[in-house]
Amino acid sequence: MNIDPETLERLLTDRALGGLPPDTEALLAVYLADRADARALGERIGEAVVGAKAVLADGEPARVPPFPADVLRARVTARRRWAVVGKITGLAACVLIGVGLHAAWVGGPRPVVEGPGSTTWVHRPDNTDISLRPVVAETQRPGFWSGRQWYERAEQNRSERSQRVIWDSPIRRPRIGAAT
Amino acid sequence: MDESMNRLRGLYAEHGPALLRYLRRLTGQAESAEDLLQETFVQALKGLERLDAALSPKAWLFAIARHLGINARQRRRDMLPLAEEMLRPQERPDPRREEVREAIAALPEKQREALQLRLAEGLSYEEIAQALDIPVGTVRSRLHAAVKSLREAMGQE
Repeated sequence: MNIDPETLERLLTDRALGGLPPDTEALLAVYLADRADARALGERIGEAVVGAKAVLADGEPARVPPFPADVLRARVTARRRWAVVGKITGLAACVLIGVGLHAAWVGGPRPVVEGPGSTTWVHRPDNTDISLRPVVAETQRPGFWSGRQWYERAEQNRSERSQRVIWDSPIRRPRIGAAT
Repeated sequence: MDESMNRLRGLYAEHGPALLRYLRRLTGQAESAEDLLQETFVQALKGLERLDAALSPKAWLFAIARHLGINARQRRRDMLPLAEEMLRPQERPDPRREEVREAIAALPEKQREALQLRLAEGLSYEEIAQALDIPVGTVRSRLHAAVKSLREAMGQE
């Protein structure tokens, strides 16, 4: 039984490169024992590999600098330091965002809105007049999501008569109407 | 930290010369090769937990070194590629050896790299596959093609 030429060449190349498993190499040796042509091919391949190895390994032995222990330690220390700074910065950013959201949320009075179709009344402390007035202290600034901005706009548009909040549809904004 | 450093120190002693030779051939410059060798071990220290999962420490280090060397070569045009480094005239040129040298320089870079890692640095087929991040079969194909080309250049075929 003969091995096809391409397979034989690959096996001989792997043998020359030292890439054959031991059992495969043993079987190949048995195969080559009584095949002179195949042995000759193996020798030519071996010469090419030996020549290549001599050229590739040519040159002065590499003189390796000393192990850079100080550099490695400094890089590791710097990396750890930046990691701590990053964590602190992230934590600070989360705290600031939380503080900002909280300030925006509590920036103004929340209207007591019961839902569509209801009317909301806001009483003044002296109960002399039932009108729509903001109930937060004047010193407080309305927050971004605060209902106070809406109240103040409504206050500007308020007529002499008492008014009421009319919100008769969930898809429409509440409006100020006459108190009837 | 000390344990990691000692481990790296051992790897440096064992594989440093081979890595430095490889980086010199990859970049064509001795100074840059030394810097890259140092950077290789900095990167190795960062990813030391991956060493245990690697096929072999040598292949893992060669993979890091190769990545750094290729990036450095792409950044700097004054670095000679491996082929030109191979073609530098020798002091006492042996005609036969020069013929082989030119044949190796004429190989496609992928075949030449595989041949160097096998014959000059002694990596196994599996280690070459890990270092180059390719299948073992591809390593075998590249080596076979390289040897065939050398034989043709040497007049064997």
